Amino acid sequence: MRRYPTAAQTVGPFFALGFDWLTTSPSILKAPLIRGVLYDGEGLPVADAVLEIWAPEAGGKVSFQRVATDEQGVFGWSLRVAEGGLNTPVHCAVLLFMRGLLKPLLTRVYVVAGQHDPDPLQGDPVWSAVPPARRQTLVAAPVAGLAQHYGWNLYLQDTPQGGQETVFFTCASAST
Amino acid sequence: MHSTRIFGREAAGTQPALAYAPYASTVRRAPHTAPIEMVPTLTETTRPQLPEIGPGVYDLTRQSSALPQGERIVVSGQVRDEEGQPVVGALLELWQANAAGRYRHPRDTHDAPLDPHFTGAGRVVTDATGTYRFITIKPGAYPWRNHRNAWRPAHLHFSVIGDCLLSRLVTQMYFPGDPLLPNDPIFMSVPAAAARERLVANFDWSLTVPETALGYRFDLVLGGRRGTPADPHA
Repeated sequence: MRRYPTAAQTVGPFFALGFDWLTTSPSILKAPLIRGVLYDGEGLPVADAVLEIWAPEAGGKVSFQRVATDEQGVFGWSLRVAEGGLNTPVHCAVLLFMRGLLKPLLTRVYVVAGQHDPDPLQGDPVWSAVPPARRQTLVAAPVAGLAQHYGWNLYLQDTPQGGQETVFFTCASAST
Repeated sequence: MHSTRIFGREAAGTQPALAYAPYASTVRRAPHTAPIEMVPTLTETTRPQLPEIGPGVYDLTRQSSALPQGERIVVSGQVRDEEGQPVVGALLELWQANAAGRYRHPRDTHDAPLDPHFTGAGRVVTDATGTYRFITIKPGAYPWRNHRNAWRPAHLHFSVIGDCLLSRLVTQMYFPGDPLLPNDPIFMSVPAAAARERLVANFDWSLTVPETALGYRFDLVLGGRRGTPADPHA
């Protein structure tokens, strides 16, 4: 018998009670890392969100990290590297949960180190599904003066200050 | 086996929309642009590496030197996929308010008392039949500022990490017969009545513990089902 997935409900403002044991503290971040600020539709930082980072690793494994935004809406996580350093391009899938989201948002962030021609992501099916004008919302850019620091801000909506709404995804298998 | 999992589109009415004005916080937080549909890759369909938690924290009434205030309850159920197959080894995280409707969280300013003997947090892993079981206390309803005289019905927060990102679930469990449910915009954000009812636990005599606790059954269904395996003889 086919069943429907249980309906999602918001994580609410008090998820730290249940999530803290598996949440990475920002104080232990080390490079290479991604850091950014999460903004709402007014351009205000969101101080009560949690991000889950699902990242492909060597050997077909997927790592899991959970990070919360701080009082300034700042989040960050360390990229796991094999010996020999960060081999780009890499991506992380990101699930966003917060008060005011009745179900999670799925997005992706790409890190591309150095200059590349042609575009090293041109064969990536997820990247290719995004209109070119919106692709830069998925790119973590090198931070000037900080080696192996990549900056990636998240915008839930376009903001009055000029922030461009981040691309979010929905997933369905091709055969359904 | 990630390569044979199939993830369909949401069935109409079974999940909340992101933009739902009666829940005021959605207005500045729900994106305005429709999500882009992508075909899942291994990142979204592979079981994640998670820490082992052993027996976990399943009894929220035994985390202190004394018992917490409130009505003790057992909450148990089965975690299955869309075909009804049990999801073994799924990580369940539970958090909740205490019997007075107060969370042990610095941002909860409701002037109901904290309970020094209740943290309101637990976690377990489903067994070989996909079953979980918590012992806790029934949380209280509490007011919030969504609209005038707004009250959240009593609820438990559930988080489930099963086979992969695409089966990730965060939801809330409600109690049968709660008169606050029809006025709660979070509960009512799920359009289909049948889908809402699945968020309401069932009182279950078989889960009660005589002299100790009443029992509620709350089953969970995670997205995903087996695909048709390729014919090895084709």
